[in-house]
Amino acid sequence: MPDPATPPPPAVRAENLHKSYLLGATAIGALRGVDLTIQRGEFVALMGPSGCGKTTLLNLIGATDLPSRGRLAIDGVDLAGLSDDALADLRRDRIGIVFQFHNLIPTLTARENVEIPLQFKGVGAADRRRRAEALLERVGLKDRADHQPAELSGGEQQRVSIARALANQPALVLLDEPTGDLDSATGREIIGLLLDLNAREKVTLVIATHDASVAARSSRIVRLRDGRLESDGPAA
Amino acid sequence: MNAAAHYVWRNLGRRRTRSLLGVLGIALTLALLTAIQIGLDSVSVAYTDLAALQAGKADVVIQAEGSSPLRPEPFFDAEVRSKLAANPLLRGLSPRLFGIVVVGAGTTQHYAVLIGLDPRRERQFDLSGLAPEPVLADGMVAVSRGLVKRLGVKAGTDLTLRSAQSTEGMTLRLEAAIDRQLLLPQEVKDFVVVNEGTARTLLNEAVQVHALAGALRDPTRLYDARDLHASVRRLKDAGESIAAELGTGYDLRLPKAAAIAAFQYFTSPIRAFFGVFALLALTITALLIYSIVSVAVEERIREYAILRTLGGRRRDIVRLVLAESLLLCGSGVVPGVLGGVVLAKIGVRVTEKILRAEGGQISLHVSLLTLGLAAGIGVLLAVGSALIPAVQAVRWRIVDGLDPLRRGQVAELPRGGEGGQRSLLFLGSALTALSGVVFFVLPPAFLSGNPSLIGTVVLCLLLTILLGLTLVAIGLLPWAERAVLAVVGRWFAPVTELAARNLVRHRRRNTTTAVMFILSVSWVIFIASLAALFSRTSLALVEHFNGADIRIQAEASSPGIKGELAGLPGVEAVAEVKYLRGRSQAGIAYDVVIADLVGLKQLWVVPFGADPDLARALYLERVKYVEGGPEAWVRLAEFAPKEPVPSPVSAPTGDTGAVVIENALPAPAAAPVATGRGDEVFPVILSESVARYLDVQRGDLVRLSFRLGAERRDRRCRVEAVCGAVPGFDNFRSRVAHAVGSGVLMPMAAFDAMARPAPLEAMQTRLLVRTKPGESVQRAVAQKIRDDFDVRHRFGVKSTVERKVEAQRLYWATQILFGLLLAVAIVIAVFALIASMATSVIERRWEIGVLKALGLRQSQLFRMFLGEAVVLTLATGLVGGAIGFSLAYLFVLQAAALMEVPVVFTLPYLTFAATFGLSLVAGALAAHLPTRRLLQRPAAEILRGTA
Repeated sequence: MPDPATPPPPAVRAENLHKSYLLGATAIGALRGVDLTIQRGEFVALMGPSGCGKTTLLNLIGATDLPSRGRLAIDGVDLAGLSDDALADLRRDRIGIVFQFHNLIPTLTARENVEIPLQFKGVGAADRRRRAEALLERVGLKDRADHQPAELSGGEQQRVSIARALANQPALVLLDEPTGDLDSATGREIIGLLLDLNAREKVTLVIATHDASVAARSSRIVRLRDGRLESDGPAA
Repeated sequence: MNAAAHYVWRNLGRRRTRSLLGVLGIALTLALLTAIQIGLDSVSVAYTDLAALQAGKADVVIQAEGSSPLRPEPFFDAEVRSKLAANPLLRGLSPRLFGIVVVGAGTTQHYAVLIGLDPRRERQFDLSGLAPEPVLADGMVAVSRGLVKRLGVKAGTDLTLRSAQSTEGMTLRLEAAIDRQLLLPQEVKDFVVVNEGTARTLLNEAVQVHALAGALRDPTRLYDARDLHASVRRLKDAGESIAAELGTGYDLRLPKAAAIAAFQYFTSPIRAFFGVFALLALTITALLIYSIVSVAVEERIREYAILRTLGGRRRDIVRLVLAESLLLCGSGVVPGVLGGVVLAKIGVRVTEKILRAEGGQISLHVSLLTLGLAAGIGVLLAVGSALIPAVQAVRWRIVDGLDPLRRGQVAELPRGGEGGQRSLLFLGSALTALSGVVFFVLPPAFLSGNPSLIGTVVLCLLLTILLGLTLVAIGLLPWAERAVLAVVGRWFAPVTELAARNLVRHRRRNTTTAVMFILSVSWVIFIASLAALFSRTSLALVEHFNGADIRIQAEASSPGIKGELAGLPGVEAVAEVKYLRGRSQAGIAYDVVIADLVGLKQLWVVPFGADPDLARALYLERVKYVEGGPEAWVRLAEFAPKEPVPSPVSAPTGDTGAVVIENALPAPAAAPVATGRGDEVFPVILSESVARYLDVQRGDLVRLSFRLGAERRDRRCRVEAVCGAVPGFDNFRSRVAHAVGSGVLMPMAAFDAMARPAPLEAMQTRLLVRTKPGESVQRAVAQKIRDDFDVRHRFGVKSTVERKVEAQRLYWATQILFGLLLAVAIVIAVFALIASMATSVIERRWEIGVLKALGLRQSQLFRMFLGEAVVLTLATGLVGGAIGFSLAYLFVLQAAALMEVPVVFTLPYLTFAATFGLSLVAGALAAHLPTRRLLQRPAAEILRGTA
């Protein structure tokens, strides 16, 4: 039983995070010593010019990549030394990810796409279906549950992605340019949905974006430049 | 169904053409293999009944010791019946009598073999070996259909029959014409069948019989169709227990058991070949499935990465890929197995229709084991072929899987010395294993004498060599591609250079395609070349083995037979050749030994006494002279012995008796030796193997020693010629290993003088006939000899023309059979090629997008892919064809060298042309099908990865 006196661990704690890539024979430093802590329930926007390292940071937080140096803990779990399967379990149970485009499995319906993380967790068929439908209702797509992605608009696809990301009640949801492929009106709808989730259900959100209007609606903006933290403060 | 299952199921429908290719490939392969297996099983199961078609229905046949149907010895059946009265295995015995009779109708007369039966008992014990089965009342006779035609009679006509030794005959009415008899050797075409009483009168044999045909009790226990080997064993045990009770003085045969054993012996190599073919077909199909699944995996790398971000583990993704492959293969297994059953049913019906004319029946035997095996193979193919792509599906890091632009940017660790050592380890292990197989498996296989084991081992080794050469060919591929490009490159302008560079850049990716195509083509060409080479060589062998237009094998010489044959119309020359059997019926051994003059070496040989007409009858142009020439035949023909003079007795020295001292003082000797004129030397023609063994040459003297029972005759001979091969005499060989039992040709007069003490039964005669030119003349003469001489003299008549026709029929039958098998292999290989090229296109979609963005037209892009595909398939086809043909030619050369027969070089032009044509078609299809949709997409869509 968790001790009520002990505060819950932050959703993200990154210490001196480094990430380098080899491009041909050249080593590229995508992240150079980033320290970042994100508490539960925060809505954080990662901003910066192209190549600043925000996608890289998101990948590390999402446990889809591993840091070259430094420490990273997600919901109190230190990623260092975790096996591939353990990382997969972490992504399944504690992290939800929404990509910019081509999120959904094209041959599955909206409901089936949302069910996938539940299936990986071993949830029974009836329970899976019930929860998937509930999630789709939350994002306003209950009546589109049996449609395949090709039959959904861009905004609807992103809603399904969000529902899927919430399937296992994760500690945080990571979004990489979620409105980048959408028109402004649809983008606003999506951000509105996210704000709603954050406000009502205290879902921790980390969103990488170029869009200042999106960042403005967050509670905190973290700016990166050349792989380093440039600024970290509340949104104006 | 859950989401993952839906994902797997719907993935098959995403690329219907590709999925269909995979399903068809599996279905075709399994249909063919299942049909062959069911066919073999059905024939095996039916063979316990079909054996009766070859061997007659009698389970046992009892004869006097040393007797045979064509040389029957009478015995008292009462004695046999009393000995076997209490035998629990025997149901009953039926008497049979045999003899030679003259059958007359009007002025026409023919010799025929007489068969006397008790029709009631034959029916009672179900022993009849006649089709159709006659009633054989008193005064009636059934006659073979051929003889009925020659006599020009029909049912109801009166015929006169008399024994060959008698002048008194009987008049019998013709009851029916018999199409087939299973009581005598099949060479006997002219026969008459009467009841026992009539036969006794004709043969003047009141009491004794020539054979007793028996039926066993409980045949279902003894004949087990599921296990022919066990059947033969049980029958042998039953026969041995009966023979033990019978005692000495009788021979007991099990004709059906012998037929079943012969059937097993015949089908074992077929099964072995089928096994190797199945292995190859399954390998090609496995490559097809591998290609299809690889393509699918490459298309869905991003999806798999998404699934992993949702919490899917690597093994979950691997399971998804394997499940998809299982579904694909399973979809092919069911129609494949069903198709195989249908194909087998058709094949069995066709075979049955042929056999029904002979009274045979085959029912389809589909065993659960066969069906289970087919299903199991399908599962194995699915899992085995998809394993590597499944592992490949999770090889990328998630970030690289999600972003196609990032893939390949993560540098791999340099391999250094470890990689090189690993490949050396692998190569060394492979070479050692192969050497071990050759060293430990090959000699026992050959020593076993089991043709199926030898065939399997040889085929496996050939396959290994083929695989090795394929790998070598992969190494040579760049040069082959350059050569092909130099020839066809101008047809792909202006993208020829781009295509050439792509072939180099994507060498690794194309390796799978190249391996698969080379393997398929080389195996196709290998089999076709083998069939063509063997068939053409066997056609040439007919003349080599026959030696003359007509070759007649007889038991012993009949005086005047040569003159009778020479008098036949169409005959130009007849030569008689006599030789000694090694052992007589009485068990006396006859040894003929040749030695050099100083007795350093000696050798057991087979002497042939040839009459002066041999050179006129023989195919002299086929004689392979090592020393000497055609004048040797003249010397042989011209030799005439001088008056024999009693010579001093010579005593052998030493155990071998190889050195004989002539003109020595008389001494008591165990074996008196007579030499005729002691100093008379007669000419001989030696085989090269004998000459090499003895180390003698043309003009040298050698000593020939006839050791006949207690007698011995020694003479000196002069070597007039040394021959590596003499047509008609298959023991004239050139290798020293074949020296023992080699032939020595000598004048007939010398042979007769040397072999005088030998009884007639030890002699065998070969008659070689040269006919006037023309195939029809040859056929007519052979038929005349069969009609007029066969029965009387128990000839075996073989004409060169007829044997060639048989060889031609066999050639076409094998060509058609192999053609069908090869068609399947090619089709599967084409499928796999298309799928493999599709992988390449998908992996290069980014490159395609960039080229389009740079301004390359759709048609030009297609030409680029077409050029790559066509050059690749033509180059691999060329290399594969060269490998296949070379291997076949080398194999046939080796086999021919072992058998010491000439090889006729022939190229299977049709198969080569078809293979190259198919390569072009395959290349075109492989370029068109995977690119037709992608090339129509806008560049941006391709670059975004949404195409």
